[in-house]
Amino acid sequence: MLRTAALFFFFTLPAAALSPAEDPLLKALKTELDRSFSSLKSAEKVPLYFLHYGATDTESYSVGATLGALSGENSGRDRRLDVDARFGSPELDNTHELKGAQSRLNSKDQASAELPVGADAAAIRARVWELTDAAYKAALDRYAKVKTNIGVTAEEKDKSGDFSPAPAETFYSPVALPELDKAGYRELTRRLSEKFKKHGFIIRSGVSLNASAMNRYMLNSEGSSVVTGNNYLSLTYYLTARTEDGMDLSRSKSYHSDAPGGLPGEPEIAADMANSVAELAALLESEPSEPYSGPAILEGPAAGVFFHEIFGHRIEGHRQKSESEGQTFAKMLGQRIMPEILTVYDDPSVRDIKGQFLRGHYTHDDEAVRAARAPLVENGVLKGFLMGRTPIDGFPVSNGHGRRSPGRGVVARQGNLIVEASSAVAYPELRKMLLEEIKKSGKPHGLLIRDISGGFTITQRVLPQSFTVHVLLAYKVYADGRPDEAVRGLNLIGTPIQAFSRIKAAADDAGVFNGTCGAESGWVPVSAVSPSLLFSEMETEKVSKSNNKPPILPPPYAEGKGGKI
Amino acid sequence: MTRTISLLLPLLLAVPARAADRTLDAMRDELGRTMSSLAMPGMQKPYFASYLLSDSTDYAVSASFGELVDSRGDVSRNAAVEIRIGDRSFDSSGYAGSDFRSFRPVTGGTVIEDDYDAVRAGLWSLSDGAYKTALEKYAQKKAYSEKKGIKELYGDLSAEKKASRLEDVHPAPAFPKEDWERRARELSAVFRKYPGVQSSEVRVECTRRVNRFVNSEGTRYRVNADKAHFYVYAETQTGGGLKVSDRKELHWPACADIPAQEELLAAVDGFAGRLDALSRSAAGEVYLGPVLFENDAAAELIGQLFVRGISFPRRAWADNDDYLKYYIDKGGLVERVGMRVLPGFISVHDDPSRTEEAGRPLAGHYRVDSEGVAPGRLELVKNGRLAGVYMSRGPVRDFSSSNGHGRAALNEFPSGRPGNVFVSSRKTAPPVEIKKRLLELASEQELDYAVIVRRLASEGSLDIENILAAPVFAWKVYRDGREELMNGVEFTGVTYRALRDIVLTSDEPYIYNYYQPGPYAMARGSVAASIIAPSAVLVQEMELKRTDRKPDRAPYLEHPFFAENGGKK
Repeated sequence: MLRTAALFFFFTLPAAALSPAEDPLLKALKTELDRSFSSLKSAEKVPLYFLHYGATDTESYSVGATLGALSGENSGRDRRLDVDARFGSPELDNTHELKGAQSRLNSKDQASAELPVGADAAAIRARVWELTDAAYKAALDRYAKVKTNIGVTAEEKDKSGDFSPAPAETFYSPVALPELDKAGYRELTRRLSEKFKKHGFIIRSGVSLNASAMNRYMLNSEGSSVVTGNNYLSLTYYLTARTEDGMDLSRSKSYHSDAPGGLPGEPEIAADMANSVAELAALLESEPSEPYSGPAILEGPAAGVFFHEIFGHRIEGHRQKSESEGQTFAKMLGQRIMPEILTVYDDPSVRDIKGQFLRGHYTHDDEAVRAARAPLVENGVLKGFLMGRTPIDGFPVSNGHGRRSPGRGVVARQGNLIVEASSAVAYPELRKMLLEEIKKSGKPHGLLIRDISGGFTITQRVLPQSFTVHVLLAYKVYADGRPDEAVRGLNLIGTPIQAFSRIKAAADDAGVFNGTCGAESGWVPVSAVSPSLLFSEMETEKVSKSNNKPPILPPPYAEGKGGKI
Repeated sequence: MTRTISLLLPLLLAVPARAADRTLDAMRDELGRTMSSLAMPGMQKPYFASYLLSDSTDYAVSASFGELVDSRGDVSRNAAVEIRIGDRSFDSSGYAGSDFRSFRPVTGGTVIEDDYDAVRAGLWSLSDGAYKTALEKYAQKKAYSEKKGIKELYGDLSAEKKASRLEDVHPAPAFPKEDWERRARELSAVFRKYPGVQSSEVRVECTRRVNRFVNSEGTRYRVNADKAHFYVYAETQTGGGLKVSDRKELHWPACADIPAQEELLAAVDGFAGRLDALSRSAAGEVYLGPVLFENDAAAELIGQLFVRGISFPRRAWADNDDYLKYYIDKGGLVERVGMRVLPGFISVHDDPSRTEEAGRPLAGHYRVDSEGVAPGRLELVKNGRLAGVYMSRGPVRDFSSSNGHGRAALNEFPSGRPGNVFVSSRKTAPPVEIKKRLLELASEQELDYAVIVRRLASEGSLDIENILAAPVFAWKVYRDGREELMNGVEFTGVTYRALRDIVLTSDEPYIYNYYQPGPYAMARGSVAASIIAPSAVLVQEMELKRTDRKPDRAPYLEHPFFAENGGKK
């Protein structure tokens, strides 16, 4: 969780306040791109038809504390370069999926290079040259494999080609890391983290603050030249405990913004922390859950995560034509896949919603395509997919969702996934509806799910198309008016089509989840927004647990203070 | 927009030997609680425990082709906790079972400030896990020992006297960051003169380190363990397409020992020039005959064959002992005590107390080993016969106690490792004479040429197939004395016999500071050591073969700098 190493780099090149003509990295990349493409495009019998340089320049700062003492502080600056080379033609190139025995070679891992962080063009170009040569050779080799594979494997259903056209983009808007009150953040994390010391049942805890400025440089042989920046700030706390039966429990919370002023003040965080301590204490005393099926409410942010996992990943464009994917929704275009009240879209161009910052915001994706709203579901009917520049049948162009982190090839990913309800009730009303559903179903109780972790969803064809989502905080809700009871140790399980068909109603709230999403093209910042949703039925299973006993001795600072909680 | 780094230096605030040290107090108090109270009902209590806390302030600057790639400072504090169940004769240690990956000390990062409660809390958490693991390991090891009917048991923890060494801790001196950034840029720009080199990087690292240790026998120490390191890496490609890279490392006991820029510039220039020349060299061939090892290569020969051979005398147990050779090294000479391992004219001893030799600082100096045992002068070889091996507190057949060489990085268990190795020879000649003798030997065997090796790949590049790494720079020497650089050769069929086949050494010592890689493949750390050995070592007969590595295609485009500045060969 918290890094203990404190790093601090020292560089003097603020990326902002430069013009494109003065930006040394942009100039060096451009010079080398032009030199490489003009010489390499016809260097082999097979034409190199596309060359892309993507440099990710990140400046970051973080500080963390535990039990009132700093556990680490670091600042850093690094630049990584990716080179994407395409041989053949947009109809068929080296990125084409390999099938059969060769499909194990479909990994999106690729060589990337560390670039000098200074301005010296000769030093930057030397590294760019090295990686270009390696990427060119790797792409040429893969093109030969693709040609052979096409010849020896069954014909594919989707004949949409490998690369879609996109207009050349010119854009220049880098950011610099905002001025940070580091002394203040050190004191803040110390003060906040010390609050956990009062509670002997907490076995690990910490508070950290992270800030980073990420500038993405993208140039390609079609004439695009894009430099786009985002600032990310977050404050996170966590606390963990372990039950006598060997289950690790935790609570955590993160606040996100793109400016220091956007983070909440200390009193608000302290109040949330006190709340989290109470939640963890209640979980620790709760009974482990038994498998259950019945009515449930998924509250705002948790419902967002649920949609991100269960729906979002399944409508990533490239999965609709991959022969190894489950293609849950590939052929359901124009069909009802969820209740009519729901509309879902992904729009990375939005910075905030109802005043809440969205971490999945960006102006251009990692293929230098301008971010655009991707309509996915309208009034319950499937309308589209998340598209990078890999076309699929019926969707010949990108909608700006081709994303990656350095060292990976681009695929279609989510940015800001937003779920909206055309007809919504106030939250207390939704709870009443839950109680009615419980009575109707004859179940002893229903579930109120407040916090979930990502869990996993299987989209690959070799395995069942199911999902498992780990519940971090949930309550049993009784129809007879008894107070809600915390419950621990459960996963939500099911299959996507069935799960969406069981959504009965939505509240008029909009819960925002900000996080980082991992998939084959790496880690990318994302947001998911959803109202609280009522499900007529949700199934749960028991979680696997560590089975480790709690610590034998109390924490040294709590020795002799008695009582566990 | 220069940022200062003063903010985290309180970590290494001055601590005079007799002043209060709240961190050491926290270690002592939590260790006391562990020994007195850490017990599960019906289970054994620990009989031995130790805590090691390592505070580091690291600076690193790297540059490539004239520009900075990285410049950072890093403050960290890491803890290692050892807890043993059983007793000295048989305990929970030294049993890997079937999981080599997790066979390592229990370690974790902890708070970087001297906060009594937070330091104790970190140790408390690690101790709980270490105790539970030790209970399980003890039961598994006992069952294994009974199943196998193992009779050869020499004990698990030697009895050693309680010791205390509390050194003054001085504040970390300010790191001349901008100066080093400028120096790194300048050093890396040397490669702009060498078009044969495709890729290069230089890096300077300085570490200010304080290690604190307490064990349940009352031993404690607080020692300074600084180090400094410079490396230069480069890659070239031969005319035959073979990619060859080399990494020259220079080590010093502290940042202040790093020599002036002129000396480093000369070192980088020499290195870059040789690699550049390698790009134009011809491929070597199969060879069987005398080989002369000089300077770095002579020291590496001693290091890889002899020093490594008498290190790590004791190997852990594993369920499947066939796998041990892949995961845990054991010195190949440790069972030859009393036998001839070197020619009769060579003797070797180790003395970690020595801080310098001929005015040059020795990286292998230390006053107390990782287990709190003070080393003395250790006789290793007397007139060619093996008299001692490096011992930690893990007894072996021939030795029942530590000789103060139980050394380890934080992530590995201490095992017998070198300090300052002194090799003395009574059969010596000046370098010119040795080259003459080399040619005579070649001539006796009717060879057209002999071989001189001036650089070997490092010990870290060894695999289980080889006990001696491949030459990076080797020359053919013809009868008229003419030298011709060659590439693409490796030793084959090397055994410890090569040490006994040394026929002559030079009469001048060469001082070589290096890092010895540890024995655990899944948790390899390294310790700083020094070899002070003759600068030239002539071996009667060795065999070279051509490498099995395949060539790569040359780059499609010329290096952009040399394309524009006309430098390509």
